[in-house]
Amino acid sequence: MTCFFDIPDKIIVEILLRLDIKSIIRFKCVSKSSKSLIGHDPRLKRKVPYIMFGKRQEDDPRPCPHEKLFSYGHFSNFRMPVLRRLPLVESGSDSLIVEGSDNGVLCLSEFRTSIVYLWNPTTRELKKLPSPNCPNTQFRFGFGYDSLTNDFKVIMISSPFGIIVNPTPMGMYKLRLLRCCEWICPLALIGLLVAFNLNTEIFKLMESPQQHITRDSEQSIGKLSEYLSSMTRRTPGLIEIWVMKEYGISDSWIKQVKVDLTKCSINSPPDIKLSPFQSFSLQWSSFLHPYKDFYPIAFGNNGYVLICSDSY
Amino acid sequence: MSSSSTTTTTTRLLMLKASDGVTFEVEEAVATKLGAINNMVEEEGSEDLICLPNVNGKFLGMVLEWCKKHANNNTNSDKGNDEVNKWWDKEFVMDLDQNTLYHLLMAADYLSGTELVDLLTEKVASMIRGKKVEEIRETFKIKSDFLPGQEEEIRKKNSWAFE
Repeated sequence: MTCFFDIPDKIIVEILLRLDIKSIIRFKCVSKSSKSLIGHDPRLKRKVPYIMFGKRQEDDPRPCPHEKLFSYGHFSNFRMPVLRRLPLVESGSDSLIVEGSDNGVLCLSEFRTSIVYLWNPTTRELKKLPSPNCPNTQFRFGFGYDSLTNDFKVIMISSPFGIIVNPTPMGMYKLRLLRCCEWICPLALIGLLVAFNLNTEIFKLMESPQQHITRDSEQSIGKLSEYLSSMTRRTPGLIEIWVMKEYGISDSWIKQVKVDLTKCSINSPPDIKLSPFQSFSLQWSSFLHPYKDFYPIAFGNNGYVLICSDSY
Repeated sequence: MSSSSTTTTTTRLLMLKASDGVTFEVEEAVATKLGAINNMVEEEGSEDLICLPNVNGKFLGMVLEWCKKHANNNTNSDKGNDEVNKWWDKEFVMDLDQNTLYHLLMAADYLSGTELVDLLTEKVASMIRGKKVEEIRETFKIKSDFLPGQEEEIRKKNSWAFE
């Protein structure tokens, strides 16, 4: 009898794409041919959890003791969050803040020391980056993958203008970024956004969609479809989503949708049309509570938007 | 798309000829669940005999059996049919041996039966998922052809996957 895996490679890849990353790695150990197959197919290599984030606490001096992290696989939807604990570092996980994620790798910073770690939750690899050597400095972070150098970059911006660009020696995570090569840091207080091009390492200022964002309104910046988008919470439960129609042109900010989450029923979530770009419907996940306050958390690359309630 | 046996809508019949000469007479609506046949019907139009030199009668028969079930269930447009299809799919793949799986997958792929490929690849995936390396080798009768130390190296590099 022929061995089942004499079947054409493209069919084996279809089979493996249905597996979790652990099972794929184990399959790699089965024989030489399985090893070389997995080593060569970019779709298998890319199969790592994809959108990851935790709750940010930019102004709260007291780190949350139960910091949790949500991660979502390529093919799963937002109803099935995978919760993972942050890794243990010398000073304890409690003081870690999730600064950003890209291609399955998270950028974490230690609250007191601003020491930066890159962490791959799938492989559990943890890298401590060289210290910026600026004690007692509050940084804002940007993190992304540079497709030119095939590596990750961490941008640390201290208030008001000190800037360090910190390319990182992370050769083992050679994964391709889909399209966006700019990572955006919000400077919400002055109504401006700072865009940083990871390829050219050039900064650019752009106007925020709302010029007068108050200190207690929360803003989250991300990519919705192919557009730079902003999600803002103005008053409790009221979320606005803006989209920059022409990248870099401040006048092209368009308010896409305004959702009053306190008025939504948990049984019949509203369908929201984001025309002309796309339409989507609100899905309640188990960790969303009605009648509470909501904070914008992140944009997913599948067009989803994640909003977290304050019960977390 | 509502049609039932009592109406007089004429269903066109196609003849499918397998590599070993076995022929099957199938309703067009059933056979066109296979992308390849759908294309042939659309391109060539009036041709009623379709030769399939890459599939033998045994496996073509099984593929068509699957198509028939799904085509029938889909005409009764009900939500319950999803459940029926799922149940039937489960039955269909439950006792397939690897030789049959191999040939069915080859046939389904050749005939562009996307849904059937999905079903069968998922079946194989379920035989690998969460299994130890040794178990996978045993299931599929694969002999390790690594040189001494090579396998250990992969394990060491990815120790997290073997916990």
